[in-house]
Amino acid sequence: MAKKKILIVDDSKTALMLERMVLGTSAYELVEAVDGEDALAKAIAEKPDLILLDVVMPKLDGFETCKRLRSMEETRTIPIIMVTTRGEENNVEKAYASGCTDFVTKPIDRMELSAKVRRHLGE
Amino acid sequence: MSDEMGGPRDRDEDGHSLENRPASITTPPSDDRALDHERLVEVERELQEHQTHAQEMERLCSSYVNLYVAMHALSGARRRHEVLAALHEIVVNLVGSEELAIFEYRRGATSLSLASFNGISKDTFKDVSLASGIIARVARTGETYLPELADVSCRSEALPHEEALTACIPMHGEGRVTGVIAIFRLLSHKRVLGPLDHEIFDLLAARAGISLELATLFDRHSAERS
Repeated sequence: MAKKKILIVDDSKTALMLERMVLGTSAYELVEAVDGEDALAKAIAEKPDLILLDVVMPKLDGFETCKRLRSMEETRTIPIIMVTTRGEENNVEKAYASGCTDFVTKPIDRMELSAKVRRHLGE
Repeated sequence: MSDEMGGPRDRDEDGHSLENRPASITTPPSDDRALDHERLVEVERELQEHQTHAQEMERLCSSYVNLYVAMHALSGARRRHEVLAALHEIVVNLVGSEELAIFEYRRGATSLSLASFNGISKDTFKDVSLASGIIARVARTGETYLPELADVSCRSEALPHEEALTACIPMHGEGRVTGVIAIFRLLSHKRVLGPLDHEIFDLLAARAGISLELATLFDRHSAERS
């Protein structure tokens, strides 16, 4: 059976590496993007099964990227988990308003992220 | 009860005579339940031990992942600005704070100079005198400061702009303290520092100074060659 594909989006190399290690390349096929524009291009090209999306990024932030992903036919239904340092209630509301499926805060909790990824991939 | 030939038994399993044996000494149903209860308690205890063990394994796993990522970030940085960026990323992504300052303590200097910062006032921390305050103390002593573990006399040394310090970590290199990483307020959803964070701090204390020193030398050498 083909591995599920996850697009991880973050401008921080450290965050990308951490997510790679938490998710594990043996269980999933991982594709990386370093900003919002890169994320949009790769979401269309790679058709991931799930997207992990940082909020604070250059060029296009996570909120705007999420809105655009939701507006495109090819990416509208992909589950999107926002990953962010902004855990305040108003930011959580903003994340859901932009169309995300779920939300995790940094620093990332391994078990929480793994559980949410599995849940939204239907595993 | 019957024996192997099908006849009535006159002795129990242990060979004791059953004759005139009071009924209470034979195995009534309540003893079976007592044995089941004992076994249940034992199984619950074993389950609890397994859960505790699993939690400890999970903690170790998280610790190893964090430390590996932090070490990789520092090791992969060749230039000075890359090391400083790596330190910022470690504090933001692994510890959980967006307010930090990185100071350098040059040999013979009487103050610390601000090398990099995020989320704090540059003017307030531009030059930190070694005479007073927690940051200065850490630079002088080479000991990590954590307010929740520090004694009252130590905490009382905090200057007004140091009240929000959550951790202050010395950077070691050249056989002395070469700088300090000051972490201020944690992210709102991160309540307290934990053992995983302390392990990151130990790593930073041991490696950050060396990484920054090597990167600075590399930059200088590259500049001289070009």
